[in-house]
Amino acid sequence: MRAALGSFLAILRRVRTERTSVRERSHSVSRNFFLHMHSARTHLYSLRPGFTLGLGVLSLSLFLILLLTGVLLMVYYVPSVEQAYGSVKDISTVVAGGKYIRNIHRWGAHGMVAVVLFHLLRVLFTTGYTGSRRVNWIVGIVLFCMTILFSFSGYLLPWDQLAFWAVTIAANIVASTRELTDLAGITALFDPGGFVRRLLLGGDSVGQDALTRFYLLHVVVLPIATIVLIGVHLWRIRKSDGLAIPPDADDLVLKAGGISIPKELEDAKLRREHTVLSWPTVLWAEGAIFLGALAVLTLTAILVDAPLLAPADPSMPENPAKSPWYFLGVQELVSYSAFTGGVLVPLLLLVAAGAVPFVDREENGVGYWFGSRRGKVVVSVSVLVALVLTISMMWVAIGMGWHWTRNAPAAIALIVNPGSILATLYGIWSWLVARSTVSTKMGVFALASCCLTGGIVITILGIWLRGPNWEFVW
Amino acid sequence: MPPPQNGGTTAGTLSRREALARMARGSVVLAAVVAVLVFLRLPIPSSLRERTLVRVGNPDQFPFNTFTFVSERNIFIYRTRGGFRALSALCPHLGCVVAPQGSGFRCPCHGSTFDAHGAVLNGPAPRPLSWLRVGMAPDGQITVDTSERVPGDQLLKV
Repeated sequence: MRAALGSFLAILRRVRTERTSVRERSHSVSRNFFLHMHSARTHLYSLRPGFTLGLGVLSLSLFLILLLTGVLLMVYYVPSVEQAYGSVKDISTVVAGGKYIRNIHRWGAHGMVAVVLFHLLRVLFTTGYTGSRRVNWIVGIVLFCMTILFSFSGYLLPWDQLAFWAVTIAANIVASTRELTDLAGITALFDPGGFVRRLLLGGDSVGQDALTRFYLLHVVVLPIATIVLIGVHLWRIRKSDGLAIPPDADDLVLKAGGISIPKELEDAKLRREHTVLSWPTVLWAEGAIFLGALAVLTLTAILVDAPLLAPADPSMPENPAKSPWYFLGVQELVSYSAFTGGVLVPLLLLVAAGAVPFVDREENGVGYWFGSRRGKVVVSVSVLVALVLTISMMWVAIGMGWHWTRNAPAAIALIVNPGSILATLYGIWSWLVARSTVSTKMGVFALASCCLTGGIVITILGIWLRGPNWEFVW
Repeated sequence: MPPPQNGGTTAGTLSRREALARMARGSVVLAAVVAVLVFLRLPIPSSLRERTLVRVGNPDQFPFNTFTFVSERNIFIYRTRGGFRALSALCPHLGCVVAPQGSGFRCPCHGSTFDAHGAVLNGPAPRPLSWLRVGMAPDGQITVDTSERVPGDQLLKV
């Protein structure tokens, strides 16, 4: 009991630099359950703010904030078709502080999708996925998918118009594999999309069963799975000896200085190793990120209210019915073909992301943004190329109209659409880059830059340039 | 014959200990597989909450030669001198509810347009709108079976 209390207090204990020894501070990390995920010492390079941007810790901070606010929301939320909307309305209007908790939860969820995506890109462009980190790269991709699923399952719960129609559309995107199986005439025998839709919705349309299932996913299944996977993710970082840093990180720290450490924290001998004690230096940095996230979210929650539209009306869609922003790129693509834009292209993207560490096995460039000078050139040029390709493609598709499909063979009309054409063009460009630079890493960077740029362009298109009836507005 | 070493097998023979151990391992794996299958089977609905055969109203309440929207069921009823037909209002693209526009229909979600026969004029819809089987309930009300698609020229004569 005393020991438990002692280790609990270890989190709260002040940094008494003049009185605690290095050994004692090392022990305080390994002695405490919550702190022992840290190594006793951390290399200075991995603490440079410009290297990691703090995105991993920021993701974790947002997750913790969402967990806490989510539990608070569950106190009043009722997952029933009749009462869900009213209970959310109560939370926003009657419950003491409920509006702010809900606002923090909603904006935190949007923020987490963005931050986790940036974290993934940071690891990609600093080559943090080689060697023993390949498994953790895959775990990270799964965690990214979890984040999306979290956000999306939460989207249905308020049971307003936004919720109902966004989920109706998404569930039908899942079932759009039928467009393919219909062509082959095997839908009656093999209908994976329809099966998953029925599993998700518990029926053929969005109703009480769907609400129950989304609620269960959102508050039980996904949190447990995510907490376990975050544990694995952090443990894998320890197993790979901390963050991926360059082999010459020591010299770089000496040259650039990076972050400043109070002299009295480190004795001269240990300073030469370019590491600092994780407790307290790393914990201070992490605490700062957490509090920063909390501060920004709280401010946002005070200034901007989370939307709550009219109650769900299953016979009248919103016009336009728009998904959350992170799905609007996909929604733009499905407005040409549900299967290709909504299933095929996103799956290709996911497979490509998972394959990154197996395609690029080059060990150079680890820990540097874009690997090298050449990498920066490749990324810049690829962004420009993707901008030109994507904008031209969408200009052709929207300006001239996408009508040719009516007179084309069904299979070609199904597969050939702006999403698949762009994916092919990005692929060809990246292959050319990989060939001319004789570097798979450059090919990977080129493809990632293209997909990112294209994704941003079509997302902007979906957010601001699509009006009622999904018509182009300028 | 020399005794089997390490409790394992020698050429073609199996010790009793090893055979029992394999059976034990096998039964644990089998039980686990069955348990997982049962676990996975449960969320697949065996019956659905939604009715597919629904009443939409008395024959008299539908005017002639126009599409009347039955909002509870997302169905258009079209009545002619010859009888009744029912057209699903669910867009075959992603399930939004289409609205009448001109003589045809338009989907608000991704802009698919359809003519008065439900055929696709434009947009991402992969199929025409579905015509549904119309029937009559014992109480004289018109019924529609939303699970059964029929050709567009099929009427319920009244």
